Amino acid sequence: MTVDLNLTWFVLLGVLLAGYGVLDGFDLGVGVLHPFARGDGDRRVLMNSIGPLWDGNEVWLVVFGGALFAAFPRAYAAAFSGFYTPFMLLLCALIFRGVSMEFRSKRPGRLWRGFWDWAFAGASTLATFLFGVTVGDSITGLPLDAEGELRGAGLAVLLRPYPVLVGLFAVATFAMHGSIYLYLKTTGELQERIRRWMWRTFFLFLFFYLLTTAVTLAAIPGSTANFARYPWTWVVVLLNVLAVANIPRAISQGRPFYAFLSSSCTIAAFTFLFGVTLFPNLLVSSLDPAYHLNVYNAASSQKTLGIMLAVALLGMPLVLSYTAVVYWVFRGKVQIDKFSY
Amino acid sequence: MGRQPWVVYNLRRTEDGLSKTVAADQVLGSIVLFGVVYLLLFAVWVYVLNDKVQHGPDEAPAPAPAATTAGGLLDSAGRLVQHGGHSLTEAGTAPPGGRGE
Repeated sequence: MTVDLNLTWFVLLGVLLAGYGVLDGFDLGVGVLHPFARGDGDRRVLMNSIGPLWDGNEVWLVVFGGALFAAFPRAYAAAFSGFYTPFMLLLCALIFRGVSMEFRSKRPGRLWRGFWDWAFAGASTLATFLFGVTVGDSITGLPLDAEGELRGAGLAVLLRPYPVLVGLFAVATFAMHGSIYLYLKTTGELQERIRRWMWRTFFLFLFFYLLTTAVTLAAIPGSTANFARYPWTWVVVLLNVLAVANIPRAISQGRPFYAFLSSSCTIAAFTFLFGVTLFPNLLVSSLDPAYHLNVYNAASSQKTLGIMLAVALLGMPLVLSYTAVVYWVFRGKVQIDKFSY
Repeated sequence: MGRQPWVVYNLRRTEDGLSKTVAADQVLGSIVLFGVVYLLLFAVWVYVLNDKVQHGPDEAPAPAPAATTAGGLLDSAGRLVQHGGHSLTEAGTAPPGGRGE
């Protein structure tokens, strides 16, 4: 049995990206919602809801980047060099997101805590927005030349209307995902307020979902080409719509955990649809289709991909095990005690 | 650093490994950015550390005697978190959260 290692690694990258979106999606979403929490106690509860979990969740992004580097180095090189300044901004955002949680409650004082609260919220929002912009730019195409170099990808190119729309869509999606997670983790009066956040972010998400889908179908030629070529992918589109529809249904039935599962499936489905739209390309050239970087011309050797696959198959059970243990230990509602953030 | 001028020893020089699309001022900008961020965080860290040193440690609870077995370790960690067995699948009927600040 011959395995197409390039296709396998494209799929695995998709799994890692989907995992990251589902896991850090709610961490970043809590950050986006942080300014709406009033009062020191509520803000501490929000930070502590993701306190033990956010670091392990962010690791999925690191693995995605590492896997991209090892499996498709030419695409990694083109993307990370071409997007240099935005990626440096992204790194700063991720640094401040984590650090602000650690430092915020270490000292009393409104100036101290206010600074870290805004750093947390701003960094989370910026990171989410940049992720969405990157996805949007990947779909639209970038000035990738014959040598696989991304020249002239300045901010004016990266922040075109469609990528900015996808960036805003990402913020809305993660805000909704984060609000459902918070509803599961809180009690009492705060939880009642979060219930309103859930509904508001859901409708904001729905607005951007419909708008982005419409704009993608209308303005991005070729976005549905792969869906026609592989008709079974329409099943995922249908499941995606059902998952989105189940979110308000589960919330109004008083089953928020199923709403959380549905929003997780929604994010995973979006990642899948993004992968199907791109395949077999990784970076699309707006200059000439011959310059596309795809899973075959941007890849490492077959031997490398094979060794990587073996290591990944050994490593994934470990990652899933420790993740399950951490989520199990910190299950239940947020309790603030002397060890809290 | 002792391997200069090679970035891959005997196979590629550092000057050949430069990215063609990243300008020198972008790289300098990112070095300065990281330098500033690290200095800021270092200063904050020293400040918080000094504050802890001045005020002394917080009282820690005595470790549970069962904490030396694997099951006991998970149990005492769980007790530390004091989740109280709240269900994640039912909407908020749980009692209010613990000692907030």
